[in-house]
Amino acid sequence: MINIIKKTGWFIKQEWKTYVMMFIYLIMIAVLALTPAYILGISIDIIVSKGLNWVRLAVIVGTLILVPIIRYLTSYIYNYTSSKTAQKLSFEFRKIYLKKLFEMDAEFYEKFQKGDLISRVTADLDMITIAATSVLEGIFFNVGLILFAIGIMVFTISWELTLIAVTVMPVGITILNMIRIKKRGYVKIHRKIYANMTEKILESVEGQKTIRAYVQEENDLKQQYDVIDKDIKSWRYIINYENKLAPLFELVYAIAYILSFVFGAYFIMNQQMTLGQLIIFISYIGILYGPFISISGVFQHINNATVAIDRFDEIIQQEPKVRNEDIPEPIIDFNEINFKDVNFKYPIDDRYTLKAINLNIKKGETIGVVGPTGSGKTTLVRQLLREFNVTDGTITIDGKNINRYHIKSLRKIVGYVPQTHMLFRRKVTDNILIGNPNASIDELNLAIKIADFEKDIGFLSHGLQTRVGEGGTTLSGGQKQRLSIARAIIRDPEILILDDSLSAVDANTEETILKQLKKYRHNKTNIIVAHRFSAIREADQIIVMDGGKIIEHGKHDELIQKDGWYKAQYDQQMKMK
Amino acid sequence: MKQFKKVWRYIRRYKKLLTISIICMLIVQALGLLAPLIVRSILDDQLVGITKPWYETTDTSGVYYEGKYYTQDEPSGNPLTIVIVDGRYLAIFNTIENGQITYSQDEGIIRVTTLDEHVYEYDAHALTGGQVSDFYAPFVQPIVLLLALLIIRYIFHIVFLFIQRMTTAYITTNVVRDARKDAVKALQNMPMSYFEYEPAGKIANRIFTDVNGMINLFSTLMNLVFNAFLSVIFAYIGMFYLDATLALFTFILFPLIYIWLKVFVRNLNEIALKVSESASMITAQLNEIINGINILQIFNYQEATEKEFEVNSNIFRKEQLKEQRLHLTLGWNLIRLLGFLVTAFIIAYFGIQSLTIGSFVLTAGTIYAYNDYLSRLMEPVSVLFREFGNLQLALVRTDRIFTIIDAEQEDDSFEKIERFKGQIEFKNISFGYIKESPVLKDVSLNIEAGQMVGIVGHTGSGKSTMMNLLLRFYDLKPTDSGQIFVDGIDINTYSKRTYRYHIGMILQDPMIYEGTIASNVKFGQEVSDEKVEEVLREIGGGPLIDKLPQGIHQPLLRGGSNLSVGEKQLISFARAVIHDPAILIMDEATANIDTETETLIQKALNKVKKGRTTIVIAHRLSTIKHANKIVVLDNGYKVEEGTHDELLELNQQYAHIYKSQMHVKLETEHLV
Repeated sequence: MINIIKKTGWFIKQEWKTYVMMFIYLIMIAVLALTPAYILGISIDIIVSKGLNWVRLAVIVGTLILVPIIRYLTSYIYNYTSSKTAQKLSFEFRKIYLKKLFEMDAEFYEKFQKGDLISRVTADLDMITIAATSVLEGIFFNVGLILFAIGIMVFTISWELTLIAVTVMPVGITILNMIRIKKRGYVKIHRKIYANMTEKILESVEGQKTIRAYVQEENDLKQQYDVIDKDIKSWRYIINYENKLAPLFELVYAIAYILSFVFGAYFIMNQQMTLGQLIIFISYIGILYGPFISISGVFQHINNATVAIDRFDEIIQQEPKVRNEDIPEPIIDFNEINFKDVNFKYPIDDRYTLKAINLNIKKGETIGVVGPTGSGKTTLVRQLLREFNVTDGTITIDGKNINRYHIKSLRKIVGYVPQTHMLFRRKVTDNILIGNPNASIDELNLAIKIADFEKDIGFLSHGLQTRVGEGGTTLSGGQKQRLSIARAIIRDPEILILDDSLSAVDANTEETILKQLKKYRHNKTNIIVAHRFSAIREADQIIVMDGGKIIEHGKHDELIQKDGWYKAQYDQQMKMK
Repeated sequence: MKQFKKVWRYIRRYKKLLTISIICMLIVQALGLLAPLIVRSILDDQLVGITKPWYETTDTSGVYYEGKYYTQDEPSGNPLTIVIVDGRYLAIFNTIENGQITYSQDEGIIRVTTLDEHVYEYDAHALTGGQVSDFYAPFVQPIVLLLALLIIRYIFHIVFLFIQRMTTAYITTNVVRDARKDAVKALQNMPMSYFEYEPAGKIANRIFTDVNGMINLFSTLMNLVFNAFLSVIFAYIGMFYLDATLALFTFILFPLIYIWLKVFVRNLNEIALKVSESASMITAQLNEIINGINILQIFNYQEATEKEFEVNSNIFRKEQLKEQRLHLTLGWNLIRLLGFLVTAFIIAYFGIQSLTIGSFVLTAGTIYAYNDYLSRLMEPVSVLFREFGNLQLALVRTDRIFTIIDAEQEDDSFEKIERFKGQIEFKNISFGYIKESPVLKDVSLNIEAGQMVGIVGHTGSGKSTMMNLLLRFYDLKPTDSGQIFVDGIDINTYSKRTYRYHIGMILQDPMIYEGTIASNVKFGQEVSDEKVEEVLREIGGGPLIDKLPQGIHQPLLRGGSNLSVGEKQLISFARAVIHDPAILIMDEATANIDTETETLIQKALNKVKKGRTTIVIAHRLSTIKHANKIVVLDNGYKVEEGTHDELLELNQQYAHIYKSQMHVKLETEHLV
């Protein structure tokens, strides 16, 4: 509870006026909830005394109409305000959460699963929202109602009767609720049994082909029946448990009710009470039953919300390792990048992915990176995106450590085309414009031209306006690659990184793209990671990587002279043609 | 409604329980009718009964007051009336007129004002506590009796409600079980095509969620039709008994409630749909953002994304608030308001009656009881409002689950036949999944028993379709043409299951059950653990078994998520050997696998192919280089057929594919 208040403190502080207002409304509602029964009691006394006249009737009926209408209105205002506040809270939380997602580095995304990250801001947040609306009501309203009702019963009716009848309910219900809550532990077991069933059935549906091919339908069906039976048995256990507990709750109420009647009748005969008071008393017993039960339910809500808010807050408390220094420097261009003895290790890995890298990149160069899969090519080129901090050594840009520069401004000068294409569910043009939302039509067309995407437009159902499916499902692999290239090129970046981005395009397209790059990216830097040597043959420097190290380095003509990996691979590729 | 009929098919099996449940429900309702009447009697006849006229009697068992005995039983002697005014008990040695009473304590008189404005005055004597108790004495016994009745009623109520709940729960759980079982059974015999169009998760989900939807239909039915309906009927019985005119009055409410309900439900459905849509929009967008966070960060696309997200986030918030507002204006809040107004209505009705009709005696018990009945009438209204929304969803879900349960079923008969020799012939096969879009075009192919044949071709060339036809996952439709023979007999001669008994299959991503390696290899076949281990070692699974602490009894996770692709393939190879099919069809994994795994699979395949006809759908040509025959499919046509060397010689498609693969292979060879 304190935990929740602490973690939502800023919000409560911001909205304190609303909360005070809600509190007042709740108290009003509690009073209004008790009024009609009280008036009914009074009118019954009047009727018994034969004291009814037009004026009294009008007053009674008027109040009995007015009070519920006021309650209707206050309920409306309270509940609406309460939902609105809760919705505002979750809206703000979502906003904060998204900001956090952007702030976090790659390490974070290795640590937390996607599904988990989503459920924290949906299911968990829902739990918090529910708690935000219901806890206040659950505590203040119910406690208020109980206190007022008992107050009225004690002071205006009979403290003896209150003592006799009302003690049964809280004691009985609390005991029963404790049993019920204890039993909730079983729900966890049941969830496992249920999950076991769902997974088994899913497994069977997915494995239909194999099951049928091996004529195992009967065996499999037996297994499925078995998990279904187990689930039903466990479910039935829960239902029956609840069903067996329910009469006990009813019994507690019945005892309180009957006791009121028995002693009420006795008190009336002894003139300690009037009939109307007995009616009020009995009505209040009925009204109190609900709050007694829901007060113990509130604790469940609080528990859930505590877990949920802790899960939510865990993400918010994460701090990225990669972040700006206090006064980061902007960067708009560069002359020279230097890698000096750079070692790099992914946070979850034990082994180094990059070892003792020394490298010099000058503005305007084209750099080719080759090497077997897993040799660290991608890791090397992505260092320029500053997704991680290097483990040892330094990367400097124009003599200054890369960490000195503002991250966003650094990324602004880089255009990256990833190995696995990541496109978004929106139009083709919008996907390209992610690279540069402010690009003009001409820039857009140029990017499409350079990426050799022009020829594809005709094949798309709505041309450039075609919506790309999630993960890019409506496009072919080559189209996706070229779209990713266009997205990077539209930035007109100082450094363009093609990370094995020509793998799915044919030789002709590759040639076209390389030619366009040469033509339009005059005096800009290109870094090309490739499997096919044709893509990098004309590079100013070629880096050959293996096992995280640079094993060969030089121009094509130089490397071809050496008797190394490059020459061996190159020869083999040539032979195949 | 047709959905009820379908659900009835299941509930029918538990008729006895249902009868018990309904009888209990009736009893509970009848007991509900009783409660207000008992209370009314306690109030009016007993506690207020003291105010009815008393008469002087000689019988000494009567109440002794001021030297005389009084009784209410025989109206013969001098009358005495007791009135209760504001909790004070007054005795008047007379009968009094019916009218409004005022008491003047100083004068010791009460005044009764009748409806026609006549005022009568009577001398009133205040009773002491002991005297009041004396007058109440004759009532003690009946009160005790009535209270005992009330207690008994309560006990019965609790007991029958308990039985009713238990029986209903029993029916519910059984029906869910039966329906789930029927659904999974139906799935087993549904045409394979069903599984191609619907994702597995969606199908499986129907079996859980939609069956629950169906059971909601049952409980809605019970709640709405039986319970709510019965409580209305019984409330009306009580109301007509107490005051028929007022009961008739309430009939005006029905059309109003009907219109109100319609408006509410229509609005609710609309809003609820929007709420769930906007909720899934949020999830979808988050999913996409997290998937692409990397790119979005690199491209500094934060602000635009935030703006887009905020739009959806805001829609979500607004729709939820709209839903809330609907509930607050027309939903439970209004129902509660009406529930409370009932009291005002009753008091007004009876109050006006007593103030206008001279002979009308208004009693506390009647008001109490009527209030109770009319509130009971309001309860079904709230049930109606709650359940009506659910009803629609329940109907949709019931429809959906019955599309599975009542789906087209294939013949599942099975008889053991002799093992095939393994000669296969495809004769002029033209086939399309959908009419007029053929996937295979006039394909003929002859495979001798014991041979190994490789099928090669691009995605969509028809390779998998050939496998689907041979395994009879699909049958040739009348619009298709051609025949498939095994050992010279048309495969449609056998029932599907009979036929498949001698055919085995290895999938790209093999199915691994939750269980152990041994249970996965056995896959329903009765063989010893030793045999399993022997087979596994034979095909090169030795290192795998040795690596695992529990050997072949190593538990496997669902889908084999603790194994590599190669290991899963090994298990499915062993499975094939154990089942010893005459014909084995293998769909090679497309995923990039390392050289080590590739050699492993190559080796296993060489063992497995012995003694059976083997068909390999190949993605890496190295697998089938040594096949007896290689078939090249292109766009549904068989374009080439021959051995590896013959096809290289031919220097057409196969040769082309082979070269391009070697090109890639050379590059990747150095990886490991």
